[in-house]
Amino acid sequence: MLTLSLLTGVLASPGVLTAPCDKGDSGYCAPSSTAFDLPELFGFNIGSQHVAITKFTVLLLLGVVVVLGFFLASTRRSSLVPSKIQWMGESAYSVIRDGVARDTIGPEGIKFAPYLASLFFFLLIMNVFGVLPFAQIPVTSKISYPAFLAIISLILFNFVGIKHQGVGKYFKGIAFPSGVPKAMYLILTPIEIISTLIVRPFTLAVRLFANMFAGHLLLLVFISGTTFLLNVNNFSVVFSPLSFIMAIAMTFFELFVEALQAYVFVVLTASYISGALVEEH
Amino acid sequence: MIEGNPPRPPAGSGSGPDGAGEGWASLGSLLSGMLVWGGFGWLLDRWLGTEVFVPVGVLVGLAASIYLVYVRSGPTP
Repeated sequence: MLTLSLLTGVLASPGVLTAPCDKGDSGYCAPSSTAFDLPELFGFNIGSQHVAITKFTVLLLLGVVVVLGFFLASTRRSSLVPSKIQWMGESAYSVIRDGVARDTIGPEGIKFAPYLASLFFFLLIMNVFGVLPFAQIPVTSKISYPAFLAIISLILFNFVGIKHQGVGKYFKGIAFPSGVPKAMYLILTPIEIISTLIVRPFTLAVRLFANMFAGHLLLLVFISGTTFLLNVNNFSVVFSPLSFIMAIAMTFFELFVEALQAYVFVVLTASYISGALVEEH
Repeated sequence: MIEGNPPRPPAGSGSGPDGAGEGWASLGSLLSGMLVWGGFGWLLDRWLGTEVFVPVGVLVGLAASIYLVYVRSGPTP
């Protein structure tokens, strides 16, 4: 499957780089952030607002359908002796329920497991689209998708904290860390407030976005480099296979990064919820 | 115990399976420490027309956030 991904990538690479660029002396058109400005497939207007449907939108809907379909199919006829798909669905779910919800939050974390598992598998497919044949772009490489999920996490852990501890106690716990002299609050309180309410969601979104963005560019560089070096009429043509080997290695590396970043996003969301549940942190 | 699970961290310890949560929290504190007090220094510079308070603010914020990380995640007595 990854081979097919590489193959379609190489075949498509001249087309990927159609955006005008400064070719300089070498004639090589290096991939840039324009690679993420995908053309509008079709669009419509809601009032005066134009809505453009791009590959990202299509992949997003496809991902939702795949995740939803898989888990619906795995729970549809559940029985004590599980069918193959039920077994797969239950194993996948229990990885997040036991490995993230219970280990990070504790026994109370089980009730967050459905959200965390949905988030993980949604992010996983959104990220892995980066190496899937014909999809070949991670949806999360557009900042708006990670940003919105980070906002949901922000609202979730604050809601949990307020519900569990009460408004006053929760925000007092954030603003005034325990175990420091009172005079230090003057310096530490602004740090804690900014850190919890702004830096947390910001880093959550940017970490995922930047990993996917950079990873996609890396693949583009090596794949377009392969085709470029293959067509160059001098000795440098021998470096084309090297670039191709790097493209293969990076495809596997990206698969790893994509899974890891989905996991990190979920673990951190769980860790924030856990922090909101504990009094005095 | 045959069915015994590996030992789990205490409930709601705030740390991920491998302490990842605590690590990222520390990073967030360090970042926001520099951000907040560096930003405060920048505002002070704009107001007074000086150029010294940004580095001072960044250092103060860094020191404060290192202290904060030490208090929160350092060795427990």
